[in-house]
Amino acid sequence: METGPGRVSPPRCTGGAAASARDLAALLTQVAKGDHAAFAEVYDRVSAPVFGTVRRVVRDPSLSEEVTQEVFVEVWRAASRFEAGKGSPLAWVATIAHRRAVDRVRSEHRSAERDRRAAAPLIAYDEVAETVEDNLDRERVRRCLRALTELQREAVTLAYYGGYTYREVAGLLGVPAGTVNTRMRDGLIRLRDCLGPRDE
Amino acid sequence: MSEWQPEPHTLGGAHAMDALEGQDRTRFERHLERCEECTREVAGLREASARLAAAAAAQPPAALIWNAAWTGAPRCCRCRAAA
Repeated sequence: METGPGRVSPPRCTGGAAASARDLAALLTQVAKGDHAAFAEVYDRVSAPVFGTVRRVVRDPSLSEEVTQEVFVEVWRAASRFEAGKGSPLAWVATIAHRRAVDRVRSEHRSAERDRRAAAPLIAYDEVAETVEDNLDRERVRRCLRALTELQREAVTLAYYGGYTYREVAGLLGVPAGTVNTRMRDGLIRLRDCLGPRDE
Repeated sequence: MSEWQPEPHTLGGAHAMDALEGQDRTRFERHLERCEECTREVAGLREASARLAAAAAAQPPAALIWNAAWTGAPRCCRCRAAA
């Protein structure tokens, strides 16, 4: 059974230039067939959003690297499940990354560490400033986050960057869970409409 | 218990940000299997949450790709870089 990149050999060293011309969806199709060059290209294209997201949620640097690796092993193994008609390749990869980060943080930090973090829950939004330079996504996201109501913004950023459930967010903000759930959905819908389609 | 229970149709936003767990998540995932409208909404909102991911982009340490956990592809990266 082929279970990971390490089991397929030998890696091909051709195809790098050709791969760069292909779009991410096409690359994932190639990855599903065991194409190492395509996988390397996918890594180059999405490792920054993956690592950045994981690090925001997980925080611990070495744990973030570990989770990032798990994400790419899953991308390698599950590439055949990517369906272009159901969403963008970035959303597919980001979903894997965020879910793994959140699962890890919930199992590791259930108690003391998370209570401590809860003392400064709003760091998440400001930290959007950090990270990679000249990030167009970041500028746009910041602008669109600013257009949300305060509660919508807090609900969205605490959930996505903080890795909290909506019930935890409700506890942190001292707001009923039903209200947080509604604001989270309204906020994300407004964010989606404000952002528009992504330029590749 | 008397814990507040959400109406499933409203949980798409929380689900698209992995903000559901336990019973909330199980129930909503069951609901998704038969609610096309929510499935569509979640897919659209996953695109929005992916933009939050893109906005957080940060270069991983270069050493990451050399790690033995997935040796095949990194070896390819190396020879491609050298080419």
